[in-house]
Amino acid sequence: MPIIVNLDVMMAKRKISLNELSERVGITPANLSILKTGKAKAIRFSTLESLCKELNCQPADILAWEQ
Amino acid sequence: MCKKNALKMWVAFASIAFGILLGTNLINEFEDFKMGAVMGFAEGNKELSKEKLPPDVYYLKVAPRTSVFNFSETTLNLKNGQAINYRNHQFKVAIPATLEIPKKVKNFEKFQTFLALAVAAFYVVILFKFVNVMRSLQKEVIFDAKNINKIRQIGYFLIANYCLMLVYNHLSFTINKQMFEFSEYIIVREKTNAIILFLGTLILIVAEVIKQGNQFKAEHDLTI
Repeated sequence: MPIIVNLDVMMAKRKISLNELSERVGITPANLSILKTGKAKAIRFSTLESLCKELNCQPADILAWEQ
Repeated sequence: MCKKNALKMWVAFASIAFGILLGTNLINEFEDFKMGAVMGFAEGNKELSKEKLPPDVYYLKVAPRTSVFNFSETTLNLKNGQAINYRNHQFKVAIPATLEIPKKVKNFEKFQTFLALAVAAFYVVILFKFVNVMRSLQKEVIFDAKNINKIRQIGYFLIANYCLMLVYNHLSFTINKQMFEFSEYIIVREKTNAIILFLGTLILIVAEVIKQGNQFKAEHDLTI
């Protein structure tokens, strides 16, 4: 898939675990894992907003496009 | 809760409707068979010993040459000049065949038996697959790849049955034309019920729609 999810990079920079982030964002650890591993088909703006808020970053820090 | 009850209600309704469809078809077939068997058995008991089987009974659809109200109980087979008494049932007549049956006709009849068995076997398979699908729906397993395959197979089997019945009716017509030619009646081709073809096609469309629904569901499940 050309859209790369760099969530694991941001999580490592902010030193936050999967379970903690999922609790703060309000989604299940399983769904966050699906997002982190790049298996998700789509992401809601509300979820992206929550992630950026908790990780204190921009959407471009989490999502990237590669040809 | 309401959606679950609605689904169960429609599953129950579909099962009853399928039962009625099978039942009415079987009753029609049984009535036809009974008429032929009664006719054949009566004729057999008259002329043959107990060890021998009753003579063949030909069951064919006819239309009067002149008027639909002119439906006499006897006619003449112009092929051999034989006077024939028969019984009517829904514009069909059952005739005890005392003609010598040509080898070609015997071969056709063997092939017809094979076709009839294939049609019966397909209906049994359709019944089993239908029951399995209804069971899955009762358990609320709807968008399942196995279900989609079973529904698709029901559609294919129904279309196959229509094709087999088409060939069977054509063979019957061919056999009857070879064996008989009546003074008052014309032999008519038995119509194959096209609703089976339509139903099979509709079921294939439904299977495709469910498959698309399955894909949408998968995408939705993977939307975080």
